[in-house]
Amino acid sequence: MYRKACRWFWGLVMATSCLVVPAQALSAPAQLEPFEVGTFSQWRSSVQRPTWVVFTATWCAMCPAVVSELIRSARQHPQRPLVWAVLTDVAPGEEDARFWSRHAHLRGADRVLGFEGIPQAIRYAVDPGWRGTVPHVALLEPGGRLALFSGQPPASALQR
Amino acid sequence: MSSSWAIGASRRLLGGVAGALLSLVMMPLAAQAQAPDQAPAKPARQRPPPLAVGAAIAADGVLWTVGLDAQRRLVLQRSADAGRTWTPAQVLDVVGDAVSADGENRPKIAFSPQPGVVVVTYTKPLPKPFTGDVRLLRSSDGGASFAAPVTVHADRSLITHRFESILFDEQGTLHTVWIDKRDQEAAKARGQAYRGAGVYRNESRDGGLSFGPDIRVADHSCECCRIALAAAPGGGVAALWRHVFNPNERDHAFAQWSASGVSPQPAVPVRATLDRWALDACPHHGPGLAAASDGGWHAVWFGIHQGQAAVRYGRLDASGQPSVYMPVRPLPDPQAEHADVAALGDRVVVVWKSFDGQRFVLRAWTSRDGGRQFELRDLATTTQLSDQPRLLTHGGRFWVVWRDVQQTRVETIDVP
Repeated sequence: MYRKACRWFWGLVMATSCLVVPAQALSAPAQLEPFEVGTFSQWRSSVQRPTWVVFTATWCAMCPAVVSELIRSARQHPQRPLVWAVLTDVAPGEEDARFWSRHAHLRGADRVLGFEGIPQAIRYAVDPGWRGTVPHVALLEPGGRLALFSGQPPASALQR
Repeated sequence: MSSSWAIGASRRLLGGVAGALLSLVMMPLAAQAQAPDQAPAKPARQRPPPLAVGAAIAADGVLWTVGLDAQRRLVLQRSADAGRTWTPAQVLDVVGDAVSADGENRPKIAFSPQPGVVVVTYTKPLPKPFTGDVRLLRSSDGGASFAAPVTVHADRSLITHRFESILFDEQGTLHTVWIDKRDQEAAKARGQAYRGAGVYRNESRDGGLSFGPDIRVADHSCECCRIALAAAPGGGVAALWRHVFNPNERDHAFAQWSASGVSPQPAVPVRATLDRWALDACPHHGPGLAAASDGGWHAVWFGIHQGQAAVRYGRLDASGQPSVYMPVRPLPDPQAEHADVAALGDRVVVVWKSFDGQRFVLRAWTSRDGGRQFELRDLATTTQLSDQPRLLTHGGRFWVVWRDVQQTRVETIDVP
């Protein structure tokens, strides 16, 4: 009887663990995290796996498709790179009740952040040549390697 | 220890662990389901009001600005002494409209040649993302009072009618030009691809009381850059906007038209810049345009040409095509952004702002010879968040209006 109960218990553990992982993968960010002047350089020196950082804006009609494509391609990539989305026009705490439903494409990102500070100063710290075009996309790799793209990164970058 | 106690304990343990595991499963799912509702109905923190202002100078030399105040109300202010002092803010009743006031999509103000008639326009964002209506407030008593806002365009679809620009021509016709997505939506409904958005315009021949039909100026404009308008010598209007040339080159197009009565002639857009910037993104960085004394045009724009990002100055011929006589030149500031241009005869001024990592600098490039040679001037600096500079002319001088979070600066530029 006791052995039977134990088998049932461990079966339940295994079945439940299979459910927990995808449920966490699906979970939406509850609120924006701050992205400050120093955030990008900190990330650049500390990422442990390939990470796409996509800078976007709520007014940008072309951004949702690019964010969604990055998320889709990351999920299919064998190294499973992370996708972090950064809003350039909404700061943490400024999102209202409709924010996540109006910008549903962001919910598939591993992290969602918002500019905290003067946008031009933050942009300059990310890339002095970046004049505000969005989506602006960075691929961070361990060891400080960085590639920057205006708009949709080419397929060769998504697949490498 | 009896076997019955062991079985009971195992059951209690199993129940507890199973409950905990189920909680683990359900918590993220619940978060997923509730995420939109977890955000407070009102944000925890109020977004600071956008700084973008529209500015114009009345015939009596008084400078007017229109923008949002700290409570996000649309307000007018006037200065009779070039920005040293300002009248108290006059709140305009927009009957509850939200008002777009970011750098590319600021409220605007314009004076009719008809005495006392002033109009203010703004984009009212609608509930669906990327949609909006162009709205207009009209005063016939010199700004003492304004009628309730009206929608300028005939089309009432829940789509983009945004990024309007306005101008009264010499005959007093009010021209309104805006970015419009009706043709993109129609193409989508037919299952067809459509590059970018469209540019539409209309005319009001009674100073903003009524409006003629919506007229398509061009298919395939960029979606979210300001449209530059300039009065054409001898009447009429010229427009310069960022366009999406096939397949995805975000250069600029130019079109010119005259007030045209009941059957307006279609404007024919021409390609005005040749950066060949292939981009599937939103630069949010529109151009500037001014009439030149020789019948052509002065233009400033941002783009990436052969890998070099720059704001560039170029001359267009009378038809709006790049001049073959004067080469395109980058502004002498690699960080330049959101430039504007104005001309008084052969005197030309280009203004822009740039960020050097620590502060914003307002700079001017001045020419006495129609844009052949320029001199660089630094006009002002700030470490505060700031709007794009707005360049005006009045009384033979150039005026720059530049708002930051603390003040609205006015710099006057003399070009002897």
